[in-house]
Order: sequence, then C-alpha cells, then structure tokens
Amino acid sequence: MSRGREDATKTPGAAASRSDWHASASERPAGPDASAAADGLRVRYTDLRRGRRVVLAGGELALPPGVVVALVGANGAGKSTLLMALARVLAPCGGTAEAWRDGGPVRQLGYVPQRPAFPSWLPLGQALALHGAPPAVVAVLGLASADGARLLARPASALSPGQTQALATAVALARDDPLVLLDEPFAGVDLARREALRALVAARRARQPDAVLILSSHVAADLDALCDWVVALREGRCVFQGPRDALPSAPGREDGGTLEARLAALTG
Amino acid sequence: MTTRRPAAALAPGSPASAPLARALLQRELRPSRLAAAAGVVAAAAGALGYLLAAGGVLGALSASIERGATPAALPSAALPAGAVMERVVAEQLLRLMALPAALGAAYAVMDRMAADHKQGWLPALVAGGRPALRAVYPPVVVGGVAARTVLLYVVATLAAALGLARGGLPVDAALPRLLPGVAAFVLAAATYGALWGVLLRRHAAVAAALAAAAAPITLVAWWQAARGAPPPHALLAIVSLHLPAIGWAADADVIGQHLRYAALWLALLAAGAPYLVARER
Repeated sequence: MSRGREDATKTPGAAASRSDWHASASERPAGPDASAAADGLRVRYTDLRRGRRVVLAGGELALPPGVVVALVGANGAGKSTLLMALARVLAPCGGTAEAWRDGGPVRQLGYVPQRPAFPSWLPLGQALALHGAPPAVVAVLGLASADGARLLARPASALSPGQTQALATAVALARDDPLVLLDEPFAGVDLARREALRALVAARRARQPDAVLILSSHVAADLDALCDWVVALREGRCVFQGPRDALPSAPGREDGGTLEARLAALTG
Repeated sequence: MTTRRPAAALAPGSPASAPLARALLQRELRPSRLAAAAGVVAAAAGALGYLLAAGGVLGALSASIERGATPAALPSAALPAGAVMERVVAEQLLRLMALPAALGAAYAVMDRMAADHKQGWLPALVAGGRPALRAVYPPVVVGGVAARTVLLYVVATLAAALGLARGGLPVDAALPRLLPGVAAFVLAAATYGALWGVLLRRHAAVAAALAAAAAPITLVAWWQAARGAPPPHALLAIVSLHLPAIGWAADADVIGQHLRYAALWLALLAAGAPYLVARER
C-alpha cells in the first residue's frame, strides 16, 4: 500500500478533471497516454448525464494498484452514476467511463448496484452459480453449515434485503475481477455481517494484491477501516483524489480532524 | 463465524452464457405454473369451441356462407358446404385465440425485461460477464416466452378441437393447416415485443421510431392470421415504406415471411444487444 500512496502523491489532491478531457457525452473515453502509470489503473469518463442533466463532469482518475478507494460525495454528487458508467450499466447516451490497465481496457469487473438482487425464481445455489460464485459465499451470512445448505435450496427471494446486500457483495468479492465496484455495500447490513464483509475485503486484497476496489459509502467507520485512497465528488466534479493521508484538514481543526470531519468538509 | 475463512479457498468464476440461458428458460417453463396456465387455457378454449359449434355463432357463419360471403383466403374451388363451414369456424376460433396469445407474449417479453433490469441482478451479471452475455439475453427471453406461448397455444387448439367435436363439428382438416402460421405469428409478435421492451429502456425517441416501423408489420401479420384475407392496400403501402418485400401471399409464403421477419428482428436485437441490455438512462 505504501507504494500506492507514493504514486498517488505525485498527483496529490489534484482535481480529476483535466482541461483536455471534457468530451461530449456521446464520445467514448480515449485510451490513456503511453506515459500513463504503467501498473496502475486509469479511469476516464466523459460527462455523465441522467436525462439532460450533467451529473458528473468528465475527468480522469489515476488509481495505484491494490488500493481500496473510498468514493465519497453528498447525495446526488454522481457516485452511483460513475460506478454505473464504469459497469456499462449507464446507457451510452448518458456518457461513458472506462478503466484502463497495462494499456488495455478492463472489460470484466465485479459490480454490486445500490439495491442488488438475485433471480427470484431460482434456488439460491443456482443463483450463485449463475453469478460465477461458489456456494461457500453464503458463509458471509453467518449460518451454520446445515442452515447454509438449506438456504441454498430455497428461492433467492427468501433472503432479507440486508442478507441480499451482504451476499451480493460477497459474490463480487469471491471472484477474481481486476476491478470491483461496490455501491454502498454496507447499506442495511447488520453489524456482524458488516464485520464479515470487511474481513472478505481484507482476504481479497491478500489474494489479489493488484486488484482495485472502489466502494461508495456514507459510513465513515467503514471507509476508515477499509480505504486507503479517496476520490471525492462535489457538485458534479471530482474535487480530490489521492491517499487518505493527503486529505485536507477539517476547518478549525489543528489536528486535522477525524476522517468523517475531513470528508464532510471536502464534500459539503 | 465461518466468514473469516480465507477467500482464496473460493473458486474464482465469472457469469457465463449457458447458465443464464438455462435460468431464463427455467423461468418460463416452470412445470407448476405451466400446468396451471395450461389448465386455464384449455378450459377456456374448450368451452369456446363447444359454444362456437353448438351455439349461435355457428348459425351466423352458416348464414354468411350461404350468402356467398366466404373469406377470400379460402380456396375458390367448389367445396362441400360442410367443409367450408368447418374451415370458417376453425379460423374464427383460431382468430379468437391467436390475438390474445400474441399480445400476451409481447407483453410477457416486455414485462420480463423491465423486471430483470429493475431488480438489479441483470446489470450486475452482465457487468461481470463477457460481452456475449449481453447478446444472449434478449433472444433467450424471446425464445422462452415464445416457447411457452406456443405450448399453451397448442394446448388451447387441442382443447378447442375437442370442444368443437363435442359440439358436433369435426375440424381435423382445418386446424393442422392453420396452426403453423399462427405459431409463426406468435413468434413474430414476441420478437417485436422484445425489441420494444429493450428499446423502451433506453431512449423514447428511438423506441417510438422503431415502434412506428414495427407496428404496421405487426398489423399486417395480425390481419393475415386473424382475418384470413389480404390486408388493405393502404396498409401494405405503409409497410412497404419500411420493408418493400412484404405483401400478401399464399399460406406457405406467409409463414415463411413471418419467420424471416422474426429472424431479422432477432438478428438486429442480438447485434444491438451489447449496447442495449442492462442499461439505465
């Protein structure tokens, strides 16, 4: 991680938008320059729109390998829109975003939307197989093995929203995608499952050290526990990207303030 | 808690096309629901056949035939009056059953696609899968709905035939001849439904343009299947603006045309699927 922070400080706190990167919504992001970080991940995005409104102005993120990125911003700042565009879930007419690595685009990624679900008519075991995840991921729900086996035979619709959220996040973390996008993965998840998910994130980092995880959340405790890189959005623009240590201090705080205070000051 | 087990023990994987296709077909062909639907459809169609054969409709049709108002699609060769009457009744019955079936299929396709997008599992799935996953989805949804509709339609036709027979009217000659054409029509309608279903998720203007192109074709298809007669020239003229090849033809050609147009729309859908499926505006 120290290496990531070292790379990042080369662009400390720089706003993501470059003057030469304000493409129209219909344009696809071009590939990165040859001079782009060879082993890092670049995310380039055009103006992202919902309807006619530009939610997030075009820009570029440079993410070192192996970081867990906190994507923060007030409601409506464009966090989900950016993740949707990266996951190619946003219609092309709404703008495009693409991640690049080693000179090539990252085509396959893990994505958990804000309100995830599994096919309701399938037994849970089949639904997990459909997503390419092993049955063992139900362990995240903290069930005894017999209960877990029974759950796998029941319809996916039997899960509560919180269980669905936790399981969908665990499914994304179980695969080996080079980029994982988690849109508010802890929303509605109870404390025990939240702890389990944190453990899964840590285990995944150990298993695939170069993979980049981007997670949006409003819960500072989760971000504090997991993230070492911050991308902050405010009023449709990226206002900060860099290591969390480089976050500006909260106003009036000589010690810099807590992570929550710093993020709140940054994102409004 | 077992959640702290090393994640390395979990086998990596990614969504694949074949399991998705299986899952989508499984949804459409669930035996319990299929059996329940078949029961309702068979009961309704059987009752309809019986009423047509034994009730006032038969009398009205017989009267129209006696006045020389035989539909133009029927062969001009002199047929025994009874045979002509049987065919007219059979076509009337199929018309009554075909239109709801086709509309139901088109609606089911749109409903499935809208629900799959809204529920969130499809976007997550296609994001993690290869591009082929986006291309596989629409044809399989259409195919699944069409398969289910055709199955139900066959059940309805058999039940109607039994009803007609119970009402005193043998229909063994007319039904087999009409069945393939209407099945093709159902498939075409389901295809158009899929096209609209996908496009309506995206851009209203594009959807309206495509609907304007597809609606006259659907109308012609409905006219052919339901009326058993050539559509009005005005309608054909509108359609020919989009697809000049379409026109009235003999039964075999009509079936072939329906299948060709269904294949054409499905091909377009498959080609555009990577840009359309699981997208939000």
